[in-house]
Amino acid sequence: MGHQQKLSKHQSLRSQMSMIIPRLLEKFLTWEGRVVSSARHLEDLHEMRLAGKRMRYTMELALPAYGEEFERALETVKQVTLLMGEIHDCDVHIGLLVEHAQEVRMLNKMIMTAKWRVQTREITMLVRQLRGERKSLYEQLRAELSRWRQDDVPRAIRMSCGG
Amino acid sequence: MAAPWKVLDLDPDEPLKRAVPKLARARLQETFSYQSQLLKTYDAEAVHDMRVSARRLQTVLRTFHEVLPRKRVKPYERRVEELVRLLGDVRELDVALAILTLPMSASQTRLSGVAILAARLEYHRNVARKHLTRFLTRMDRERFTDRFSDVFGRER
Repeated sequence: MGHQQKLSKHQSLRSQMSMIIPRLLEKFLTWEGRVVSSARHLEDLHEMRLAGKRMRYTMELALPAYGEEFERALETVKQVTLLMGEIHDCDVHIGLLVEHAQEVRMLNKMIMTAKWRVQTREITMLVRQLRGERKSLYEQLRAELSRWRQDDVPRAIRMSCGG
Repeated sequence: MAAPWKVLDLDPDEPLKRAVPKLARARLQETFSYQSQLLKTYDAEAVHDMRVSARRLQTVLRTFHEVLPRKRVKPYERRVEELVRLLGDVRELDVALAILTLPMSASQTRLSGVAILAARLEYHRNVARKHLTRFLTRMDRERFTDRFSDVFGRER
């Protein structure tokens, strides 16, 4: 991105939003390549999700300035950020459960009597379930971002706010 | 998630110096509209709604920082950041506890690892709720919303 024009407090909300939203969109799309190239690029997904949320909340502020097309664009952004949020939740919970399972297994190693050992089967089941959910959500996200490219959704977002 | 409040007196063609204070005041009121419900029940939805609204307020402050009176806004912005962090701590534990609901096997005789994790998370959630309650009480005592609103009021 080149030199960024500064906001002017004398300019209208409508005119300034048509400058701000395309900037936020560019930032959001910075991580797209890394995110779609591998399900394991967690940091990139996290950054893209944060950029998406910021774009979404900013677009909400601009709702009174634009028409139905903009409302539809906002809905598209909302759906993709929700999907990213669900994937992020899975990542956090898988990490939490895996770490907990490791602690429990270490504890179990120190317990000589089998019946006093803590059961880890349910933790393993939960991790498996969450990994399955995560995989399916990631495939949905990839499909959605591919649709963004096919239908040129970024252009539609820019156009909807006169950017 | 609750929809953002409409800013009724906002004219998109008015200059930012008049529009931004209206947006900020509306988001501030929206954020604290969830406070009494949250403190009464600690309902997960109220926590979530207040957090999202506080993030919306942060978005106004960050997006338009160039046109806001920086020195006067900064201390309030820090408090909003702290509020978002404390709400996030409770929210994350609400969500994590909600997934720990696999049916326990009836014949289970050994202590469940999931139950231990749930107990640990519940303990942390209670601590996080206490911190949040204390913070909100302090904000009330300092008349945070009135004072922050005044910052935007005087800018009109």
